[in-house]
Amino acid sequence: MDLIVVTGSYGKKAVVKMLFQYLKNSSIKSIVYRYSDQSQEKILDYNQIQDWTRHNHLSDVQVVIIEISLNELSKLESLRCDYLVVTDHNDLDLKYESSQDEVYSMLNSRQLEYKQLILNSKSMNKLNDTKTCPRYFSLNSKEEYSLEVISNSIKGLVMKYKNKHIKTRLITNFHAENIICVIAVLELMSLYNYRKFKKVIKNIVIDGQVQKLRTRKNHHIIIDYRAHNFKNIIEEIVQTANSFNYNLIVSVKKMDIHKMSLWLKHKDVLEFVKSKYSYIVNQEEETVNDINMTLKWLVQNGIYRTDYLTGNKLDINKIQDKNEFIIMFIEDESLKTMKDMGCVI
Amino acid sequence: MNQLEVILSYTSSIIIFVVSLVTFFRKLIYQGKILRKMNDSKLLDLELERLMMLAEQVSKDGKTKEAFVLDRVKHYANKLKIDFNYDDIISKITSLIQLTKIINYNIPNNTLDDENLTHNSAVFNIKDSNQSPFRTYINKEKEIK
Repeated sequence: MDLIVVTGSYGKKAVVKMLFQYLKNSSIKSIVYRYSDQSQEKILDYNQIQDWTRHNHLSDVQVVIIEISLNELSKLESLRCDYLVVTDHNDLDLKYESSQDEVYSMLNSRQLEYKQLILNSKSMNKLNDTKTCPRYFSLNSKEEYSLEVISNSIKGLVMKYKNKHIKTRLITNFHAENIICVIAVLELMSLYNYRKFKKVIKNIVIDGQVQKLRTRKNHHIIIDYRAHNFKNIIEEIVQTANSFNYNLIVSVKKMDIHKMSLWLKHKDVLEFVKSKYSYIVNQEEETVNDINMTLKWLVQNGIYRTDYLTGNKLDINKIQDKNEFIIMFIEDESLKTMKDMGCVI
Repeated sequence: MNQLEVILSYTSSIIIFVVSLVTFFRKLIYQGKILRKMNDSKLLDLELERLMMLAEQVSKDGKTKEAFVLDRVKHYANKLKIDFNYDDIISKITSLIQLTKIINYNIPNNTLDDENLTHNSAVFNIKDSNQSPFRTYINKEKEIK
């Protein structure tokens, strides 16, 4: 049984989904464990995982994939994994800033046990340990596992790996990095097959990770599940769409001081200013006082072109012009509501 | 014969009236077009100014700023059905950038005092940008903001 641990600041979910889908299509039985910041579950050690799979009649499982956030990675000290994958996008999230340093110090001091380490080439300088012999993946460079992005548009990505083309509906370079990360893992496991991979990647959908949706009027909407730190994603989307004509919609469960301070800390306020028009959507009914407080705060921070909407008033078709697209930062529930309302296909 | 003269005079007066009417309306339409163009260019200028200020706020990279402004102005022009002349807009942006470059120069700390001492009653020298009280004033204003 192979044990793969996937961690990093951004892209874990996409890498795990692609890996799982590929293994499933290749008839290799695999299971995924997911440990997020909120989950209270304890990390099992290797024997416990084996016991658990036997107990659940999963003894024929060939690959176990563990998805774990950077903050929780220290819990893995008791576990010896075969492949440790760090899908790091170069200090993308301030939330993980301290955890990132911690992780690299753990890797340098060999506190984590693994047979093979797979890293983004952007993290090359952070690793001092020469004994680990990590494998690096990257875009458009001369690393061992590198992918050439031939076309990056709103329709999807066209890439080239070892002189063979790979097409996908996924957008932005973030997903291209995730794809080469998956290729690196599969190559190291000697499971990579171009035809199978091409088939899996072509129509794969990764929910809430720079996901592209369409409205009934054939307008584009790009959705991501994050609630703050929008800058890098918006920059990537703008580069992909080759246009700055976007409206920004941020859906929040509850507007409070904590959320606002996070937006200030991550300079998301500037992103609100930069967009053509921004909407803050609340799924729960707010009191008038809360709405007034939010609007006052927005104006105080120089965000004049904005609106505060409650969930049932959100009609995408009404707020989108021709040649415009929408970038949405929402939660799962909001997407469900939108689908129920028939806003998105 | 008299009737022919009357007919001729009526015809000529009608022709003159029609020609003057056509000329009048032609000029009116022409003036209207000029006014519309002026209005459109004023609208574009205002939007351009707003977007350039916004671009300064949101980005540090020059190319990104230019792409941001051009893209937004183009979309704005399309929306209002204004003729979008790419070269015109580029030249406007370049001239505005040049203006800001002239205004935003670095002034030594004691410039104002030195100027007061040396240029109290002297003729103001425009070419010497380091000694311009006008520019010092603008920079002071910017610092306060």
